[in-house]
Parts: sequence; structure tokens; C-alpha cells
Amino acid sequence: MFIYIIRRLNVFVITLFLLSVVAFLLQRQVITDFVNTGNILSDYQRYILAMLSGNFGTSLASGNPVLTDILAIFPATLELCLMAFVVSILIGIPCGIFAGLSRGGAVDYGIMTITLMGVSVPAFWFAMLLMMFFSLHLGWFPVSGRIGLLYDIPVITGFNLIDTLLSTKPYKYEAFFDSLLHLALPTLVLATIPTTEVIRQVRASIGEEMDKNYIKAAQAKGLNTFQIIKRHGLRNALPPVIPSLGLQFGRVLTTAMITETVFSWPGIGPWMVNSIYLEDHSAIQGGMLFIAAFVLLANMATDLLHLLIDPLKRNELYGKS
Amino acid sequence: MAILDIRNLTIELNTSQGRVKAVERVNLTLTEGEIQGLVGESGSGKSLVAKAILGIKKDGWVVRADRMRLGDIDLLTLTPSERRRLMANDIAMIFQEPSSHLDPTQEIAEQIEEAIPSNTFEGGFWQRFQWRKKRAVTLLHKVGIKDPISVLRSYPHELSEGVCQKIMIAMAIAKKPRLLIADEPTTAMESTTQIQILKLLHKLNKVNNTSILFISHDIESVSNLSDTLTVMYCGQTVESGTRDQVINHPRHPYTNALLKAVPDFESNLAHKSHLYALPGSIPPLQHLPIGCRLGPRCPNAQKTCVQKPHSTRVKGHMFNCHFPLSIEDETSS
Repeated sequence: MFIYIIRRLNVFVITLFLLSVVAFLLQRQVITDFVNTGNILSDYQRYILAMLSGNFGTSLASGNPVLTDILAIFPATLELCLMAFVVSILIGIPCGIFAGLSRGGAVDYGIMTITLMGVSVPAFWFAMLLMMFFSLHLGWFPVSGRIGLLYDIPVITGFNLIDTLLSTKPYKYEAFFDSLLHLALPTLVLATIPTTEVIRQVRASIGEEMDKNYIKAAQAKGLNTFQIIKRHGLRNALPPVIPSLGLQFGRVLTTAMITETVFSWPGIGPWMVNSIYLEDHSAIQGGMLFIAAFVLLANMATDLLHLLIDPLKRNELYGKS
Repeated sequence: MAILDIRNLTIELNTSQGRVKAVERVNLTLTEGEIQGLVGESGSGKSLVAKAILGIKKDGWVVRADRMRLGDIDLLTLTPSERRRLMANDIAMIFQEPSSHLDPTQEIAEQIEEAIPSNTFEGGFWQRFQWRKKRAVTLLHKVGIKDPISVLRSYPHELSEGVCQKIMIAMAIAKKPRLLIADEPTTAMESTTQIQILKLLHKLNKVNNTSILFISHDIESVSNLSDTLTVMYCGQTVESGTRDQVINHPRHPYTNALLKAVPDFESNLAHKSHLYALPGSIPPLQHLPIGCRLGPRCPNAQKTCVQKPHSTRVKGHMFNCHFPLSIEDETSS
């Protein structure tokens, strides 16, 4: 187990190293903060030391250190992504189970058709449709932004849902619901992709597990279908789905940038787009490294989670190492 | 009274080559408190019969029967959920390939405790918390597992096939069923534990009056334990009767061949002499012969064997053959 974690960390460090090399070479083309001495190796050494100490350079647009800017903005994106994942799990797992159990039936076809539509619809177009219908036509949800302008909530964690509840303002519950309303549409748009993925994986996984012999044995014990799924089906079908959720994180972050731009969500997406317009190279580079590192971290975390949950996976580990 | 009464059970499988009758008009009768052996080569449909009794079906199986009764309950008219409830109380099965019949991600303890029904509880309410655990330990002791505590904490993939088989047996006897279907329960075990398990089944039969349907490919081991025997070939019943009738006076050529195939090491078997076997091999399901399925391999086969033989019944001894061996034949050969 310990060796596996070390090995996984190793991959993480190497990938980060390669990324930093790419970022460094890009930066050498447009000298900003660092003096180019002509010697690549000593330049890289200086560069990597600065990166490791958290010095991503200074943003040309804001004049702040890039890391400060990112840390101020990133929680908004993270909040959106995490909500999207929560929604996709809440919707995806039950739908996947129903589809997997009624393989080839009407329910299965219905769910899979909707899933296919979800995969094919472009995020920005879907976002605009939702916005037009629910926000402009029906007026149920706000059009854009993170929270109503009326509420003044001090930043503590950067997550609005938590900050509103932590604050001591008299209108904190109103503020909480207002930020929930603001979250609803972007979350829905962002959740489509991971939801379809969860549905497909769970469907395949549960369909496969329900044919196995131990399910027959459980039937012979006299358990009913609900008990069998609860006690034996899910615990075997769900763990293999976890690592693929981690892989989805990268895709969700990229979609988040589009979604954020459409909904004027003050996250890392519009910030990056803006930096590109302004040719703010240290901000682009810092943002890229930060997002890449975060996606890698998420992948590693889901892999380890899978390892903790699934005894079969652990067994594989001993077999190999 | 008959605890299990099956008439003309037919199981058809949908395969890519069309529908195949894997089990054709099988009859089985088990009286209360009896051990019946169901003997046949692998692929003869023994396990299919067992699964049909339990009502565990896969997609593409068509199970039909004229009559299928457990005690005074008609299994054919039950809804699936009623049938499950019945199975929870009255029938237990020991499966083949034990390790695949255990949930791979669950500890053995939980799986055994799940198989212990709450109506077997005895004692005061303060013992409620611990009794399942204690019962699991005693059950594992019963089937001959020496360190039950560490086995209870293991996952199935950490245990050997033999231990998994013992766990399956422990789970099957946990609910003290009226009918126990044992599908090759001792295949993955060393011979000393085999005897232990057979003794355990025998004791279960005597003490709890459990009826046992003992499925095996080995006519010798079955004949030691069972009161009655049914012999199957290629999905057809060929002969059934009491142990004495089937073993000592077989009327069907296939039973005779099975018995002759058991090498008798006690009589002086000549060095490098031929062991007896029927010519040919079991036909694949897609190319079953019509009529009596033993036909092409049978030493006594004649033209009429392309029609399915009617079953003949003499004093409870039933056999399906156009040209049954007579007792004189058996003694002269």
C-alpha cells in the first residue's frame, strides 16, 4: 500500500516536471520576470526554485502576485465543479442502476437516449438555452453572477455556500439561498458531462455484476432484489467507477471555463480568457500549471480512494508488487 | 410423503444455434428425510435441474414442468417473491465453484451472518448482539474449519477453494432447511475432509430430518451416502430406484457402464488391463441424438432406439430403455 502511494506520487512529480519544462520553454520565448542569461540549465534551475516557493511571477494586469490572484479566484470554480460532481453522482448512480437492471428494456433505452443527447449537446449552447428559458422567460433563476449584489458576504473560505452560513450577517440564510439559486443553472450545465459518464459506467458495471454467481447465491439465500442490489450489487459495481470520475475532472474543468464565461461566473475561466486577451504571460503560465497540478492531484486522490474502498484492487496490488 | 415431486421437467436454452433441450422430461421424487443421489457425467444437466428447483434462471432459459411441488406447495404457481421467501426458509443449496458464489468484496463474517435467519435465535434479548457472530463461529467449526476467527475476517479471494466450499456448506446448513441441494459439495477437498463433510450431511439428515439431493459425477461416493439414486445422461433420466436396485441390479446399459467404469482394485485387476468405458463421448448440446440420447454409444442399441423409450416401473425401480438388461444378463457378464 505504502509503496503504491510512493509510486503514484512519483508519476505525479514526473508529470509536473514535464509540464514545468513546457511552461518554462514557452516563457523563454517571451521574457517577462526572469532575466535570460542564455544558459538554459541555470535559467531553469532559477525558474523551478521560484515555482517551488510559490512564486509564479506578477500578473501584468492586476499587479498582484499570480498565485494570490489564482487563490482568490479558484474557489469559485472549485465550488461549481464540486457541485456538478455531487449532482452527477446523485442523478447518475440511480439512473445507471435502473438502466443496468432493465437492460434492453424501455427504461434502459429512454435513459440511454437522454444520455446520448447529453453528450452531444455543446455546453455553451445548452447554457444559453437554459438561461433564456429559466432566467429570462420564466424568471426562476438569476441570469449571471455568483450572488446577488445586495448581499455583502466577507470571504473566509472562498466557497460562497460555506461563507454565507459562516457569516454573522442577519440575512445570511437569504444570502445562502440566493447563492444556491445562482449556482443552479451553471451546475446543471456543467453536470451533464460527468452525469452521462457516471450513467454509462454504472450501467455497464451493474449489468456485469448482476450476472455473476454470487448474485445467484444471494438469491438462493432468499434475499429480494432490492436487498441484493443494496448489499451485494452496489458494493461490487461502484468502486470500479471511481477512477473514471477522477479522469472526468479535467474535462469538467475545461467545460467549466466555457460555462463560467457564459454565466459571467467569477472563476478561473473568464480570468484565463482575459489574461490571454491581455497577453499576460505569467498569469497564463501560472494558471496552466495550477490547473494541471490540480487535475493530476484529483486523479491521484480518486485512485487512492478506489484502493481504500475496493479489496479486490488491493489484492491486485499485492499480486503485482 | 414426498418433499420434492417433479414430473417431466424440461429446460430449454436459447443458444446461437437455436433452442436446445438441455434437460428433457426429467422426473425426480424425494421422500421426506431421504438422501437421494443424482448421478451423471458433467454436462448431463444435473446442475440445471438443481437451479430449476431453486428457481434461479438466467436469460434465455425456458423451464417447463407438468408438476413441481415442494411438500404441499406448488412451485409452478408461486410468484418470484413468494418463491424467494420459500427458499429463505425451506431450501438451501451448496453451489459448485464455491469461490465465485461468494461476494468478492465482502468479508466472510458478514456473508455468513446474512445467511443465518433471525428465527433460529434462542436465548435472552441481551444475547442478541453477539449471537450471530457466535453462531457463525460454531457453524465454521462444524464444517471443519480450524481457525474460524481469522477466516471470518478474510475476503473470499484470500481463501482456498476448499475453505470456500466449507463456507458455502456452513451457509447452507445455517437455516436448517427442509431440503438441501448439494451440488458436488466435496470436489475441492482433500479426501479426509470429504469424509468429514459426508458424515456431517449424514448427521444433518438423521438429526434434523433434512432431505438431501446429492448431486455428483462419482457414483461410488454417492452410493455410500444415499438411500435412492437417479442416474442422468445428457439431460434425460435413465434410471432411478433404491440404492440396492440401481447398484446391484442395474437395468439400463448406461448405469451398468458407469458401475463398470469404477475400477475395482480389490479384485485382482490384471496389470495394464483395459479399464472399461463406453465408446464415443458425450454429444455436444447442438448435436443431440433423437430418441434415447445414449443410442449411438449404447452397446445394445437397435433400430427402435431412435424413439424415446417409455419409462418402465418395477417395484419403484424406474428405467427408460427399450432393451433393459435383465438380471440374468448382469450376473452372466
